Amino acid sequence: MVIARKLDEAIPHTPIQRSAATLSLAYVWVAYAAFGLAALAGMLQGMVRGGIIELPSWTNYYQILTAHGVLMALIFTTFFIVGFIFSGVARTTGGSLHGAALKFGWAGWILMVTGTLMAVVTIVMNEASVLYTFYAPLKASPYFYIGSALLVVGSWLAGFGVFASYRKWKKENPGKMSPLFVFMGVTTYVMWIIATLPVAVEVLFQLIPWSLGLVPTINIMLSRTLFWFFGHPLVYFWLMPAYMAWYVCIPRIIGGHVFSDSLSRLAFICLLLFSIPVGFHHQLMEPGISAGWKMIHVVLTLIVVIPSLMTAFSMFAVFETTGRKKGGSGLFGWLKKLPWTDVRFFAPFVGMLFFIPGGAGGIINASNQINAVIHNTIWVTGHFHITVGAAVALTFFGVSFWLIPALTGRKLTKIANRMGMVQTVFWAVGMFLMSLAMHTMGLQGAPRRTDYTTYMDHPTALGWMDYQRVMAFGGGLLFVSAVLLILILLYLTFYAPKGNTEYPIAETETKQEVPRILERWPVWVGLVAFLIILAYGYPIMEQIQHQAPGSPPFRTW
Amino acid sequence: METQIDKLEQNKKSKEKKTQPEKEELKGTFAAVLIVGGIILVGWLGVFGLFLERA
Repeated sequence: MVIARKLDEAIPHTPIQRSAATLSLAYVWVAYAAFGLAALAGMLQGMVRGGIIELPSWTNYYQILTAHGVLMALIFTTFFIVGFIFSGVARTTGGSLHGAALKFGWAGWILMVTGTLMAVVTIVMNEASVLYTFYAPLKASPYFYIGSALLVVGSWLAGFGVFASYRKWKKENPGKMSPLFVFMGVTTYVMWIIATLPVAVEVLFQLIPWSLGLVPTINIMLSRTLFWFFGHPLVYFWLMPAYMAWYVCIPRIIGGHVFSDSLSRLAFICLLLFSIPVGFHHQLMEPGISAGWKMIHVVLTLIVVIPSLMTAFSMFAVFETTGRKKGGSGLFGWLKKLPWTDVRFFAPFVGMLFFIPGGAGGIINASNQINAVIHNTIWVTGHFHITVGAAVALTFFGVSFWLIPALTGRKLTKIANRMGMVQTVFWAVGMFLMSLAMHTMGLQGAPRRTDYTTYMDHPTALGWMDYQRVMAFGGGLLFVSAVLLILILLYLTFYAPKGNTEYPIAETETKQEVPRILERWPVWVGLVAFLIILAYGYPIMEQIQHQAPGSPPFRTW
Repeated sequence: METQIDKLEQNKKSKEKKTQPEKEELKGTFAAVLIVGGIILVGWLGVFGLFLERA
């Protein structure tokens, strides 16, 4: 594919113009700075919970738990996703981002960094140990909530930048379907902007006035409902960019093609439609929402499994068709033909393997009755560590190994590739041990979000201790892997030899006709609005009309 | 007798055919998705069994 670029503005050896590459890199490196701190907090948490170390008196378990959750699940992911999507949009629309997109991109970065700093400072000052879900009535400093709001608004601006690039491309290419990567990026941001509106309402109209003392109490039920309106699509905001790498980048890395353009776009439209009206499956044990509404959300949750299964099918199909073309035969002989020593493939593939039990666990969590077995146990922590912490994170690591050198005009060297393989193995083994222990303890009833305790030496709790130590050991391996990753990425940013690293974008093998309706946004946004009103309209109206007595703020730490 | 229009139709059809992917062997994919389905089913039934036992 020929990529238009002005030589004087381009970094030598990079497929993307300097201005777009710098913007993407700025996002990616804030992501990894947050990742490093989060990994340290996570390792300490595992050690404390496993009874191996005790924290000094100036900090506490819930403070480092909040730091780990906020920095890893909110900051690392959001910054990486924004940077990755900007780079891919530039790569697939001619190699650059135009003025409006760049302006939106930098304005978003400034707001997001400001918000991150505000949140981090309040956490470090022990004024915001409210965990990353910031459930009321735990009350943080108002600056924590204002920082969170700035983070969200900044990500919207980044989304507007992608929309501006999309509009420009459509104007210049009338009647054509947009490139697959751009289509997926736009779908991700449409979903994200719709899904973050209610949490913005929660933060602006409930949490900030309440934490400032302007109102004495808060409607807990409503705040939790608005949080989970956003909280589950947040999971898809993590997953969709990983799927973008799986659908568009991985086929090129293994020497294959996109299996089906229409299937890929349809999967993303399904994710847009069904990832939002599902939040009650996080609230199945809560009073104040009737069983009927919970059932509607459970049904919609099980529908959102379908695009993930479509993705699984599509990936197997890409692997099989590519492996067979390279001479693989038999039922699974094609697996041998995949590039197992290429970290750009190996890391995301291991992530995909983790996603199989991760997805199976998600179906268990969303099933009304059996949710009672695992609700608020450490099973749930294990579940999101193998989904976001393994499937998504390993994909982002795999992407970083080629994205960073592609942006800096350097080479992914053999040694960096080999170290990346080692890092992936450490991460996979650490995550396997830690999450297996978490799932097992959770099935035995061990609660999540608790400091080290033996529950007054209760025999059941003492029976969990061996698993707690396995969990801590797994956390240690993950920390080693995180340090190794940051060293490799620093090398790829500043020290690797100058040269070409491909930005892999696959295309379909033959021209495929794609139904035009897949790109008719008013249809899909209208349907999303309909589903949201159907699933949330009445319950939210009821929660406002028939409020339980509000709660004053609590500080438990 | 083939007319000019028939020939045009045939050309159009063969062009349409070329835009579709070749028939590919996907029996491994079929087996793999069955394995994924099996894992989902076994996991779900396992925890449902725990639920029934504790209910």
